[in-house]
Parts: sequence; structure tokens; C-alpha cells
Amino acid sequence: MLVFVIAGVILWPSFQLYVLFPRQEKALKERLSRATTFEDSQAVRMEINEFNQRKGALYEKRIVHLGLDLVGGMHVVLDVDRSQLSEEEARRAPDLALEVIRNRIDQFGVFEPTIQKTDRGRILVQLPGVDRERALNIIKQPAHLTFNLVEEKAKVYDALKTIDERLQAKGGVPATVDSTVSQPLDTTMKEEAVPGTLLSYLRSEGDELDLLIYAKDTANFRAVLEQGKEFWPQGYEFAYGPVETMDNDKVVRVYLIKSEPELVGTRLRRAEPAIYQGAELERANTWVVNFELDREGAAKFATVTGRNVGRRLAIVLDGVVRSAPRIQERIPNGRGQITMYDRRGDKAKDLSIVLNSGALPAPVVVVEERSIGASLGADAIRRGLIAAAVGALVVVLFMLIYYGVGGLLADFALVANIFLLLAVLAALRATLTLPGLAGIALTIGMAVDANVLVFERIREELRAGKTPMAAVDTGYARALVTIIDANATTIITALALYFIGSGPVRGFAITLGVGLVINVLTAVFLTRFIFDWFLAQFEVKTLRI
Amino acid sequence: MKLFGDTNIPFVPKRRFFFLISACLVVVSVLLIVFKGFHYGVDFTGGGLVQVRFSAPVKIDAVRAALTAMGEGGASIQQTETGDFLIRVKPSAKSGDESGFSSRLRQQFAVSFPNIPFEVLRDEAVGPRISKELQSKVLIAVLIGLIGILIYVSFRFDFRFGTGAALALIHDTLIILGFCALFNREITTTLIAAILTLIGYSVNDSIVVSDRIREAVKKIRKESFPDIVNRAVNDTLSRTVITALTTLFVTIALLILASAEIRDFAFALTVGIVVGTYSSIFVVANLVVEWEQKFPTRRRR
Repeated sequence: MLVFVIAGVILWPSFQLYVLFPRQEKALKERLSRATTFEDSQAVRMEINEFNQRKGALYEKRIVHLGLDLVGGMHVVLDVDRSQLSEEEARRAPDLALEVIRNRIDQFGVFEPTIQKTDRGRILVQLPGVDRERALNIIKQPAHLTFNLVEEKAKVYDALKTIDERLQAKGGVPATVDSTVSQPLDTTMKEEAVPGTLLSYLRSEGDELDLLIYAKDTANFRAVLEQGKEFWPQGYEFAYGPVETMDNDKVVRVYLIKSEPELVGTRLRRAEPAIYQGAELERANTWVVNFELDREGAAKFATVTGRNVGRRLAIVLDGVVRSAPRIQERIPNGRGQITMYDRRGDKAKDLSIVLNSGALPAPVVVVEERSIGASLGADAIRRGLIAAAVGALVVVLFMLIYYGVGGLLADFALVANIFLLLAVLAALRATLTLPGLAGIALTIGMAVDANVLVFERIREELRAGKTPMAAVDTGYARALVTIIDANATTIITALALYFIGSGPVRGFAITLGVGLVINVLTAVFLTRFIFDWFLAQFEVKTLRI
Repeated sequence: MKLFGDTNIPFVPKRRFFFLISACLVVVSVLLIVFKGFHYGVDFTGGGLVQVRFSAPVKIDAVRAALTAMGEGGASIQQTETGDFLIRVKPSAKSGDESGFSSRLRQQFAVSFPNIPFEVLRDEAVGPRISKELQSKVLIAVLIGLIGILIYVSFRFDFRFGTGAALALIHDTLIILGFCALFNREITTTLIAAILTLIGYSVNDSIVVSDRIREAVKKIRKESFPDIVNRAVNDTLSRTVITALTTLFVTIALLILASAEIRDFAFALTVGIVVGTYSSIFVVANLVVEWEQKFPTRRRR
């Protein structure tokens, strides 16, 4: 009896989380959508905040966690690319990367993320219910920030022209380039541009500050540029901006920047998203990231900006030129701004997270990924539960019909089984996965086995002419050995499965193993106890099972 | 209610017949495995799998065109009964970032189907090294499981039963794998989990029968060994079938009602329970009898 009370107490938080909270959450969201005035919606938002805090607190308690295959979310295993690191750096890299990724994810705001080191220095990240692309961006962004001086548009154009000429002198336009891809719309600037040359890819736009190419041409453009690498201006390299939308075209800016950055590896003190406040109309209402360098960085920044007033300085993040503002005056306080072309604010927020939590020691690559969309997970839960319920119901009915009173007892044991199994899973903070759900369903089927063994034995003993009391006694005694032997082998396989260790299968192994142990216990003690009580209470003379 | 009264079905006397059936099943299964082969999941082959659901019907040719446009013309495309597309690619030749395919696919689909919103239901990507590691892990787990069971059964019973149970296991596993090959079920870690579970289940059944034989051998001295075994199998028949039935109720419910991801798993379980039950009734005890006839041991006192 006490066992069930304890089990009930253990299961309460899980019940709150999965049964009560979703309803409250839905109600709150509905109220938010109905709220008409700003004050109303603010009030509801406060309540939602508080609700989320209570929900977060529940995750700290012992609950049954739902696996990613049920709630949706991503599971990635990352490997740190150690090829460019020294031995000492390579040894520390996984820990550093883990730390950085943990910091970033903490700011990202996910309920119960898993971030841990696994074998061979790999990092396992599990994020329930997040948008895959955003999460991947945050995790994988190396966050290497440099400040490089930028050449003016005319000089970039000249450099490209020179490379074209030299390449043509060497043997014409490289044959590997697919020159049919795109024809420039406007040819005023380069009437003489031969298709396939660098200049032919340029989208001319007289009053733009930079040279532009169409985003879809980037690969071709890069390929030609790489072939002419020997003709690049000494000490400079080409760089690109992010993809932008301009007059319904997707375009990319081409920059020529100094290879040697003016400022490198600078730790930021702070970065935060903000709404653009400047004068450019087209950027009104877009988000930017304001940053502030630490003291050392600010001093260097002041020197660089002081020395280069009037020139443009590119803010380069992970090789992409985020923006290239002209230095108007010396900037003494180490403050700057990265423009984002972002109307929703997500990108600015994510970039701030990445900048705030520092750079990865080395690039990370995804070596394994299993992401499940939320709707697929919900579907899996719903159908899994229906299947388990139908299966259980059929078993329950069958036992009732087949064994009568004994069947009722077995059914009671079955329900007790599932209840206790869930409680133990909650106490272990185990994760319930889709195969785990199947494991529970399977335990339902097998749960009655021990009772079947016992009942069949009792039937035999009754046939042999024993009194009910004696029959029950011998039945249990004889069946016990068999029950233990039979379940021991399945528990051995559950242990073996546990060692395979991949998430869903491990969940299955745990539910199966725990389920079997509980099975044996309920069959041997619980039903025995009730049986004896029943026989003594009603002084049963003849037993029919 | 009773399904079986006092049965006296001649399982043991007719054992040659059942051996023949089992032999045929095993041979056919092995042939299927060797010649038809398995359809391995991403877990084992490495590579990527993306499941996409469009909000409006999309032709499979259009999906193929989109994939060709992104340079993945070799991808395999499969449409599920719910209209989702399962797109599989082989592992990239150079070991690199495995999340790339899905990201590029999302971008390409957004371009190719600008007016049809889609949702990516599932991404799986496994690098070649990980899939190799998983293969060896699974192999080790299966070996640990098998050896563990063999040791336990040999220890609790004797070597004859241990061997009988182990042979029955190999018999069951081969037949399940044969069915998986026949019905093109995908071999994934989850399926391996199902097979390992079945191994446990099948031994479970065999043990109940063996237990009965052991008990009967101690009690009854007059009858011949085959007769005792036949009696033991008949005595446990009711329990064996009922346990199989109750478990089957659940696995069949899973097979019919649960989502597609669990269906291969439920399929293997269903087949496995039928085969496992068959083998514990018709194979294990008969193997022990056969052994006893060839190499009689003195009856224990």
C-alpha cells in the first residue's frame, strides 16, 4: 500500500507537466490572442512568464522525460575539427567547445537541453522543441570576429578587370565555368564584358557603395576568382557579404579587404540586439547588433579608427563581411554596430548570443543528427498511446474472460505494474522514447505471463484434487522458479541492449528491464497477497479459475 | 474458460516432421537473406534521410527535379501512405558535416516550391564513422546477449537444454531476419532491439518447457524420456499459447495502430513471437530428445 502512495507522490510532477500544464498553457495562449489592449496583453504575458517559470521548476523534479522522438526537437553529435590545432589545443578543444556551446544554448532559452561530452571527445546536444536551422546556426557558428580595412568600389572593379585580362591572356575564360547561367540585366558598365568573365557577373548599380553579384552566381564567380588567385592584389583578398534582397533580386556584395586584419580575436564585452536608429530609410525598423569591445579591444579600436578616418572598415564574422561602415571619426569607446537586414529580430538576437558566448576553439561538424518535427512527435505519442491502450484493453478483457476472478486479479496486477513502472521511470529521471513506449506495451503483454504461469499451475493442482488453499500455495511455489528463470533471460537481453546505448534503444532497454523486474515482484508478492486474503476472507471451498 | 483441456498431442513422436518444417523455413530464410538481402537503415549505412510533408499534393517527379537541381539526383525518393516524401542520400564521400544535406534541401525546396509550404518531419544523418561504430556496438550487444543467455541456461539447467535453447534461438533469429528481408523491412537499431527482445522472449518460452521437463524427469520414472517430454510440452501448452496470445494482442495493436516509425519494430515482434512460440513448442524439446537418443545420459537421481 505504502508503495503505491510513494509511487503516486513520485508521479505527481509528471502528471502536472503532461496533463495539467498543457491545458493551462493553451488557455493562456488563447487569452493572449483575445487580448485587445496593450495593458491586457502585457498582463497575460506576465502570467505566461510566471507559468514558464513554474514549468521550468518542474523539470528539476523527478519526472518522466519524453524523448525527442516524442516531443520533437534535435539530437546532434558534434565533432571538433582538430586538424588545425596543436596537440595541446586539440586536447582542450572539446571542453572549450562544450563550454561555449553550453553558454550559447543557455541564452537561447530551451527547456531541459542536454549538452554533454560523449566518447572520443564528441559533444552530444539534445534540444527539445527547437527550430533546427536556428539551433544549428547558433551551435555551429565559430564566431571569429575580425576588423579589416576595405578598398573602394572602383579599386575592386579594377582588380577584377585585371584578373579577367590576365586569365584571358593565359588561355581565355576557364572552361569549367558554366557561362550560360546568367546574363547581366544591365550592361551599361561593362559592355565589353565577355560572358563567363568576372565582370560579366556584376550587377551594375551606379549608386551602390559596393559591387554586387547575383546570389545564384556566387559559386561560379568564386570558381573563376580562385583560378585567378595568383593575380589578386598583393596583401588583399576578396570577401563577400551575406545574401541580401534588393529590388526582388537576391544579391551578394563583393569586397576587397586587407588580408591582415586591423583587430583580431577581440573578446566582446557585450553584444545586444537593437532596432536600427540611423538615417538610412531602407534600414528603418530592421534589427542591428550593438557591441562593445573590452578595454584592450577598445584601445586598439580607437587607434585603428583614428588612423583611418574616411576609409571603410569591414566587420567580418566567420569570413563573412557583416557590414563595412565608413569611419567618420576616431571611436574611443570601443562601440560598434553590425547591420543585419533582419526585420524579425531573430537573427540579431542569435548573433548577439553567439558573440556574447565567445568563439569556438575550432570549427565543429555534425557527425550524427536525428531531428524530429514536433508534429511527427505528437502524432507518434497519440498513435502510440492509442495502440498501447487498445492492446492493454484486449489483454484485460481476454484475461477476464479466460480466468474469471483470477483474471481480474491479473488485470489489477497489470494496472499496478504500469503505474509502478512509470513511477520508477520518473524516480530514475529516465527518458521515455517511442521504442520505450513500445517496451511498456510489450511489458503489458508479458506482464500477465507470470500470472498465467501461476494460474495454470493452480488449475493443475486443483485438478489433482487439492484444496484451494493448498493449490494456491503449491501453484505459487512451483511457478516461482520458472518465473524467475524466464524473466532473467529477458533482463539479460535488456542489459545487452542498454550497452548499444543509442538514445531510443536505451530508453527501450530501461523500460523493458524495469518493467520485467516490477512484473516479477507484482506477480509474486502482490497477487499472492490478494489471493491469500481473498481465500481466507471468504473461506473459499471451491476455486474456479 | 479453457482453450486446451488435457491435450496429448504427439509433438515428440512427430518430431522429424517438425524438424523438416523448421529446416525448410530456415533454408528459405537464409536464401532470402543471401539473395534478396536487407534494406539497411541510415543507422548502418551512414548517409542522410529527410522526411518532408507538403501542405498540398506534390508529384514525385517534381521532388526529383528539385533534388537534381541541387545536385542530388542520385537520392532515393519514396512516398509514404500519408503522402510524405522520404528522401535518402548515401554518405558523402569526404567525411564532413552531415547536417548539410538537409539544410541545402530546405533551401532548394523553398525555391522549387515557392507556393507550397512544407514541413520537415524528420532528419537523420549519420556519418560513416558513427555508423561503423554503431555496427560494432550492435554486434557486441548481440554477442553479450547471446552468451549471457547461453551461460544462464547452461548454469540453471544443463548443457543439453542450453544448446537446445541456443539452436532454437538461431532458428528464430534466422526466420525473423528472413521475414524482414522478404517484406523489405528496414534494418535499424530499433529493429535490432526488437530481435534481441525476441531472443529473450523465445528463451523465456523455452525455459518454461525445459523447467517442466526437468521437473517431470525427477518425478516420473516409469515412462520413457520422449514420453515424459511430450507430456511436459502438452502440460505447458496452454500457458505457452496464452502468453503468446496476450503479447500478440499488444504487438498487433502496435502494428496496426502505431505510427510508421514503430511499425517495423512491431512487425519483427509479431513475427518473432509466432516463430518463438512455434520453436519452443516444436523445436527445443525435440532437439533435447534427439540429443538424448543419440547420446543417452544416465537419468539423474
